[in-house]
Amino acid sequence: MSVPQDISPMSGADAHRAHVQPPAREGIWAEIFRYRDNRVALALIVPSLLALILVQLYPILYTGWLILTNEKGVFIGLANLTRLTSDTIFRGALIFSLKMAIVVVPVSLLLGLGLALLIRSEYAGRKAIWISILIIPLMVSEIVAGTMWKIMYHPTLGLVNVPLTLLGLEPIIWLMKANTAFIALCIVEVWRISPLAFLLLYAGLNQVPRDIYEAAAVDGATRWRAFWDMTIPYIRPMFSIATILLFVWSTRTIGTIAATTAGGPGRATWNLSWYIYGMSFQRLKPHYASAAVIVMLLMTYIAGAIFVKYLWVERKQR
Amino acid sequence: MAHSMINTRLLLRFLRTFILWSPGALVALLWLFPLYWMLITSVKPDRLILTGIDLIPTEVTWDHYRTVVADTPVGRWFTNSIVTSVSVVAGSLVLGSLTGFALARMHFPGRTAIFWLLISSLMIPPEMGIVPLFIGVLRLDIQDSYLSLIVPPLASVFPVYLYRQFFLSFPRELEDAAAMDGCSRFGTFLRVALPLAKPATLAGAILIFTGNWNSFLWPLLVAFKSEWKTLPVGMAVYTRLDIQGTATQSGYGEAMAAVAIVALPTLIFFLVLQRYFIEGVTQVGIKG
Repeated sequence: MSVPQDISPMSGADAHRAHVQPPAREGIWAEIFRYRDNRVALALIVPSLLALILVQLYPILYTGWLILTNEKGVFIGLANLTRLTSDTIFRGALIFSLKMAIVVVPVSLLLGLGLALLIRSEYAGRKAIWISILIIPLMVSEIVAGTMWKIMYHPTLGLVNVPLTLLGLEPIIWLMKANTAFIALCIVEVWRISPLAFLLLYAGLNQVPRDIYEAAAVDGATRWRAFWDMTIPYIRPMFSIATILLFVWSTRTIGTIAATTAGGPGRATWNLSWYIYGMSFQRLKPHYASAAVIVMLLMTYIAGAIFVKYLWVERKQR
Repeated sequence: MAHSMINTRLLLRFLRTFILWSPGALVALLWLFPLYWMLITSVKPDRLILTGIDLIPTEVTWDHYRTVVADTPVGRWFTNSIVTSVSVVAGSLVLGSLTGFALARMHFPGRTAIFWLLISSLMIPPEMGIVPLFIGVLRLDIQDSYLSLIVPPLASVFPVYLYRQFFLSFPRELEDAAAMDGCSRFGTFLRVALPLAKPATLAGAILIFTGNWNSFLWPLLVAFKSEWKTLPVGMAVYTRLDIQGTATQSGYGEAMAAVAIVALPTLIFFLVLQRYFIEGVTQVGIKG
């Protein structure tokens, strides 16, 4: 079902190139500029590239310089990074971020997959309405989500405690204890993030051709077999993309924490983003904070590589 | 006998549908409940908010909204948010469609390399850019201006990816037909490809608009003066609430009203365009 594209290096409007004599050696740029198509393509791409260089590449280089220097601009080598290893607050924030990802990512993925399968099944009429309802949390900002849930967790005003009081238990002050605050934040994150999993997996399921199921049914395959042997392999690449995005989102939330616990109680709900933000803009140590940024970047890339390696198994071509 | 069999079958079918759907309906209810609770709390009088939990308010008041509007320059913040989000949507869609078209439909040296360069920058954490960009803004002395609010979010790779995926499945016959009719490559892009990419454009517009409307950290940093705050940044004042719930503290109604003012424009925008959004997402398909 692949889309016909770019099979031959020269086709369609580029075919005329085949008749052009190869130019005399006059440097690669002159060669590139010889063709009108190349000039057009370059003109189309340069604005984006310039914007990216300004907003992405320059900050990376600048961060590289920040890490190697101290507040006075003196070169100090890797001292910022080594200092980080003995920083217990940083370690706490790193562990909190990872703990949150370990809980939130699988739960959101399973929830998203279940909902995607349900909406995709023949039992769902009016799919558009269900999809709209399910992805509404994506349209709400972290601050809004956090404030909303803060009221939900409120011991007397919120509804989360209603079932507990009905059972005759004491209402829990969710956001005041480290353990319950962690659970509470995980719930907010699942609410905020699982619609993304749902959306991506639903789009992935839509790529599975329907006729293979009919063929499988004719061959006597059970629905479970069909799901396990056909659906899963088809959506695996999408599954790994979703995993990476959810991991990035869940380790990086800052607005929900700001609006619910503000990092408290104590420093129990500091995550990496919160740490980096506080270090850069409140304690005014951007050089030291950059070292934490690098750790975060490495963590994301390592996790991304693992997810791609173990989840992204391309379908075998038959 | 045949009759009763049909009945049992119908009954089983109904039961199955019910068993499958009740968790779905429950999830949908829970999903929307925080939003509903926000809206309900924002229109309850203070004494009702504090005395008990009723799902349907017995008394409705707009006082909280009035207080919020009277105490803050809502209009100015709203304008800031609108101008910023609309400019970012327009700018990044223009950049993204141009680059996406070139990457999908044209052949030039370094095409694959540039594509992977763009994609790999998707994984760079935003924290990486913030300190250097903030220092840059201060050096150029453009804090408290639309320039600092709009330009950094413009460089987003997402629309490039979106348009590239869409234009990849663009039929070559159309391109050839346009070329035969004397359209230049740019003309083909502008008059043939772009109008056909409407689903991608609308899906991208919704995602970029909500993303920018809701962005918090960057506008918080570059707005020093109150008049340059965006709506979420400005309204954040109201979100600092007591979390213990010990005192008979007021302010919950105002907080919910403030949050509702932030959330409603994106929700309305999404609900108006949701049909195109779903179409775009399922069509573009984000190929696996």
